[in-house]
Amino acid sequence: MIRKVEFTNGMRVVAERMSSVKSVSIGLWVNIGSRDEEAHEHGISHFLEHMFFKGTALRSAGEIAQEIDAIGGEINAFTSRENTTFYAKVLTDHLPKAVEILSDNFHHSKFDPREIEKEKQVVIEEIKMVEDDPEDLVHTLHIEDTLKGSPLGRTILGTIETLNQMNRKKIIHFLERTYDPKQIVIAVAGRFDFDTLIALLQKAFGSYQRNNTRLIPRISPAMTPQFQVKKRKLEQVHLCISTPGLAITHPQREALHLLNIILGGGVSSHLFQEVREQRGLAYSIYSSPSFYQGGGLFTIYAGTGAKNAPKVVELIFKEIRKMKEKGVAAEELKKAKEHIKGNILLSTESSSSRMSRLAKDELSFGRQFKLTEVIGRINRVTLKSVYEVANTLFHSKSISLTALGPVEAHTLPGPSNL
Amino acid sequence: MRFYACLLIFLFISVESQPAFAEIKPKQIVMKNGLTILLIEQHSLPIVSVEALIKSGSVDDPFDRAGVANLTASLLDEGTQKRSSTQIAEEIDFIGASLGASADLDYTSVNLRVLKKDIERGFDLLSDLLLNPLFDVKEMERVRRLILGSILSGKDDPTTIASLAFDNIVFGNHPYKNPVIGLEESVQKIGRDDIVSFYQNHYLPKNTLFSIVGDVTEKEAVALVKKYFSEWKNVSPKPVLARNIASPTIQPKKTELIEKDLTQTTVLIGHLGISRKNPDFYPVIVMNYILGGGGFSSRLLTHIRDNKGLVYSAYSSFDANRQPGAFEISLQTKASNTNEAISATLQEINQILKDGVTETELMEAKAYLIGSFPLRLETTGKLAGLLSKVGFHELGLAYFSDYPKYIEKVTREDILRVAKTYLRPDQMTLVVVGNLAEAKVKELP
Repeated sequence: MIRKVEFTNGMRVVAERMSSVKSVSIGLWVNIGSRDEEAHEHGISHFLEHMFFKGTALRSAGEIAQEIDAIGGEINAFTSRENTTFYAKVLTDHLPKAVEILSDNFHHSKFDPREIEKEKQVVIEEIKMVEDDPEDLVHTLHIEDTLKGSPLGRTILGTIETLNQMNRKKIIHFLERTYDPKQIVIAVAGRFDFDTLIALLQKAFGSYQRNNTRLIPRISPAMTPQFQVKKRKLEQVHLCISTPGLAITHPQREALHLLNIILGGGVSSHLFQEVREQRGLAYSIYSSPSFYQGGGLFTIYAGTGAKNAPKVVELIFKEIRKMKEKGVAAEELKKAKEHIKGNILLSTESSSSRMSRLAKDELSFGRQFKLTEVIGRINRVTLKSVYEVANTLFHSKSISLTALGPVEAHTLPGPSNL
Repeated sequence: MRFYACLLIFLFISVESQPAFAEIKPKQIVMKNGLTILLIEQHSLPIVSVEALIKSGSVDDPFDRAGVANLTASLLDEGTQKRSSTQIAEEIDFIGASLGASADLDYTSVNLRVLKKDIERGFDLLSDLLLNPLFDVKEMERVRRLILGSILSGKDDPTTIASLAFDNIVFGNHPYKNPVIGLEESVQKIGRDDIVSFYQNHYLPKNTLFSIVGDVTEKEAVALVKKYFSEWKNVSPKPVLARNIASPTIQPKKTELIEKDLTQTTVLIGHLGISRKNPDFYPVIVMNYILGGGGFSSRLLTHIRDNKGLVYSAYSSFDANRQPGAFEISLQTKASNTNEAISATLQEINQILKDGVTETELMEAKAYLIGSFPLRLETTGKLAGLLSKVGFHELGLAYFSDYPKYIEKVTREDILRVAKTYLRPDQMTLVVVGNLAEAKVKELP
C-alpha cells in the first residue's frame, strides 16, 4: 500500500512498504534541475549536488563518506534536467542514521570556499570524460543543437567556463531561490514502519522553510531542427536522430512508449532487427523517448562504421516512414504491451526502482498510480493512437540529426528523404 | 543530534530485529546427467531468475582463436532447430522477460528472468538456446561483423585501449591477456568448425550449473529441469573438458605509452594479483577496499580526488578469477596532472605497505563489506548471479552465512601481511593513454 503525507511546509512524503526486502530506499527529490538554471548559473544544480557531500557543521567531507560506508549502505545523489535527487539504500536498522546524514547534509552543508575550489576541478574532470566518450558526446552535442536556446538544451554538468565562475554566493543564492519545500518530495520504498518513518522525517524536514523562492517558469522546449556533421578522427560514426516527443503528462504518453518499443526499444524492434540483426550494419542501435514537463524529445542512436553511416540513416528514415504510413500491426502492439507490462512487474523487485516511480509520479502528477491503473492505461492504447502519435511527431521539417566521426555531410541523406 | 539518532537505532532494532543473511540457504540437487541445480526459494514476489553457467569461457578459446567462447555464446539466440533468430527475440520480448547469453574469462552464462506465470515458456526458450543452436553460417557472419564493429569502436575508448595493453603485459602468454570479445585478427579467423567444436566440448550437462532463485519450489524446479533438460547428454567428440592451463606468472614490469588525441589521460598501474581460491582472498579484499576498492572513503579517492582534486575517479581492484587475475589501479586525469596523479597513487601503495591500516579503517571497511552484503543480494537476478559464482568457485553452500565471518576475522596484521605479499611497487606495469606531449610521463622508479 502507498501512503502519502504532506507536512505543513508543503513538503510531501510518499511511502510504500515491501515485504520482500530487508532494506529501505529513501530519496529526497528536489524538483529542480539544469533547466531551472539561469544562463549564468549553468551547471549549478549538479555542482550543488556535489557540494552537499563536502562537509557540514557536524562532519567533514571525509567523515560523511566514512559514516555512510560504515553502515554498509549506499548514499549518493544525481542530477537530471528536471530533478536533483539525494538517496540512500540501507538495511532497515540503519534508516534513522541514513535520514540523519541526509538531513545533516541538506540543512547544514557549509559550502566551504576551499571545498568549492577543489570540487570545481573534479567536475571539470567529469566534463572532460564526457568529451572523450563519443557515444556520450554525440548525445550531448545533439541535444545542445536541437534544443538551442531552451534551458533544456544545456548540459547538466555545465561548461568549464561556467564552472570556473562558481562561488559560494552563487550557490547560496541558487539554493534560496529554488529549494522550496513545496518542490520537494521524499519517496520511500522497502521495509519500514510507517508511523516511525513519518515521525523521523517530520523531525528532520518538517520545519524547513524558504522565503525567497523565485523559480523561472518552465517553458515548453522549442526544437530547432539541425543537420550537423562533426568530423572527428574516430574509428566509428556515432549518430543521433531526433524528433519532438511528448510532455510527461501527455495523455498519449503510453502510446509513445509502445511506439518506441516497436520502433527501436527492444531486441525485436524494427530498427534493431532491420539494421543490426538482418544487415549487421550497426553494433548498437536504439531509440528512446525523453519526457519533460511541457514537451519531450524522441531520439534514435546508432553506432556504425564510416562507410555504412549513409545506409544506416537511410534505413532509419525508411522505418520511420513505414510507421507513419502504415502504423504498427495489431500483433506487434499486443507484444509490445506484454513487454512493457512484464518489465513493469519485474521492476517491482527493486526497492530503488519503486522509490523512483513514487517520486516521479508525485512530482509530475501530484498523485500515485496503482499498478492495476498503469497496466490498464497500457492495455487501452489503440492502433489508431500509435498511428496518430507517429504522424504528429515524425515530420521531415522537424527532424534533427547529429553525426560525430569520420563522415562527410554530403554523403548522408537529408531530412527531406523522410 | 547524534545522541537522538543512536536512541532511534535501538528502537528500530528492537522492532525489526532479524538476521539479515543467515536465512539464505541454497539447496543443491544433482540431476542424472550431471547437471547441478542450486536453488534458493523466495516466494514474496512472483518472479524467477535463472543463471545457467557453463564452466568454460574465453580462457578455453583455442590458442589463435580468441573470441570463440564469446561468438558461441552470442550465437545461442540467433536461431535454433525450432526457432529463428527473430522468433526468439519476439518470444522473449512478448513475455517481457530477459534472456541473454554472455561469455566471461572463466565461464559462460545464460540469464533468464521471468514472471512466475511465464516460467514454462522461459524454460522452453532456455533449453532451446542451450540444446539446439544452429550456428547458421549466415548468422555467424552477421554477428562476426557486429563483434568486429564493437572491437573497432573500442579503439575510440581510452579505457578499452589501456586495458588491452595492460593485460597483454601483465598476463604474458596466458589466455587472460585476450579480451573476452577477441581481437580483430583472431575473430576474423574463427570458422564454424571452431564454434561447433567449442559447443560440443563445453556445453555439456556435467559442465553446467543452474542457479534458480525466486518464486519456485524445489519440486517445481526439479520438474522443470527434468522436463526441459533430461535429453541433454554428455556426449562430446573429444572427452577433454577443461584444458590444463598453467597459471599466469609474474611478468617483467613495463611502461607503455599510447598516443591518443584526448583531453584526459587514462592511467592503469598494476601487476598480477590473486585467484579466487587464494586463502588470503578475504584479507586482500578488505585491504583493497581501504586502498581504493570503492566507497567514497577509500584512500585513493580521498587523497587524490578529494584532497587534491586531481581526478574524477580512481579505483583499485583485484580481479580474482579461477586463476590469478590482475591487480589494477585505474584513474583518469588531466594530461598535465598525469605524473602527479601517478606519484600520488604510488605513494598510497607504499604507505599501506609500510604502515598497514588503522584500527578505525579496518573497522569501517568490515562494517561496509558486511553491512552491504545483504543489499547486494536483494533481487532474484543478483542473488542467482552470486549463487552461480559460489557454485563455480566451490565456495560452499554455507557461503551466505559464512561471508560475514570471513570478513570479521581479518586483522590489521593480516592486512599488513597481504599488502607485503600482493602489492609489489617495484614490479608495477604502467599504461598511459592520452596526449603524451602534454602528459610528459616519467618512467616509474
